[in-house]
Amino acid sequence: MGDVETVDIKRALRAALTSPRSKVSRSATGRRALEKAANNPRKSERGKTVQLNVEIREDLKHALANAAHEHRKKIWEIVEAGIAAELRKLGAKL
Amino acid sequence: MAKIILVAATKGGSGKTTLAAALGAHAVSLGEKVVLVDADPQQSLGLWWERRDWPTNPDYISAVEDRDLGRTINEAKKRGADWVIVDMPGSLMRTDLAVGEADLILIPVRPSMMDIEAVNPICELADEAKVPRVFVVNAADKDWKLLGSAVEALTDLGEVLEPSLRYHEGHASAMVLGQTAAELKDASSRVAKSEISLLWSAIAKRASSRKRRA
Repeated sequence: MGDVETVDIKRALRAALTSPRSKVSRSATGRRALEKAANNPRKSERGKTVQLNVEIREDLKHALANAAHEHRKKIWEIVEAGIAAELRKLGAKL
Repeated sequence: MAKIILVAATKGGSGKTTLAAALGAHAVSLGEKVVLVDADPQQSLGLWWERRDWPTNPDYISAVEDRDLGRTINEAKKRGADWVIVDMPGSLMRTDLAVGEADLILIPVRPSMMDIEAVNPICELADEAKVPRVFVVNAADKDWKLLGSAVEALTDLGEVLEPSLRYHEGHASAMVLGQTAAELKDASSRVAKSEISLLWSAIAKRASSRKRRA
């Protein structure tokens, strides 16, 4: 026997049951969904999307790219959130 | 009638391919006709089989490009197999495609937290398909305190076959030569041979007791 402490895997498994990550990765349904998403990295879960072709200021574009990188967000997440916020301000129902 | 064994685990590095090769070679040594089906894109089993000089027993079929794994397994049966051993990749969706054909799902698990917490999806899949499943504790060091804890945790989740396979350099070395640990000439390979032999008996008994629907 080595000098490593005895550990209780059963207890650790029970403790992990409260983790949302565990709920997904430890179920067949969750695992399939994760594999599907991983195998289709370009596929969006946002439903139908369209391209918006507009000219924006260059400094905004750089700021957008930097913020996405820094906060580990997708560029579309920031753009969609910005557009939605402005539209709500203008009274649009989304 | 051919019996189909899926060696499956969603966790990488659990020893699926090494175990599939070891069991296949052992069954051949008992005079059985074996076809190995390699469903893993890594194709490690196929490369091992090539190093073994492309034998006709165990025979080999690559299923990596085949979306219909059931069809490949049927082709393996048509080659006169007593046993078809399918080496699955660590993908549940791929395992979905083959589970309906299986007589037994063999789940190799190393005695580690990460391996054990990864077994649930395969167990669920097997249970949904009503296919028997068993665990094999792989790369186990009998002196590890962790081993007892691992076997205890796995026993709660299903049947754990005896014996556990010890961590033995021969399993890795033999792969280089297109052989299995049991086939090596060194003295320590006797342990591997004895373990694989006992394990095969347990697996064959369970797979043979399965009544397949017509």
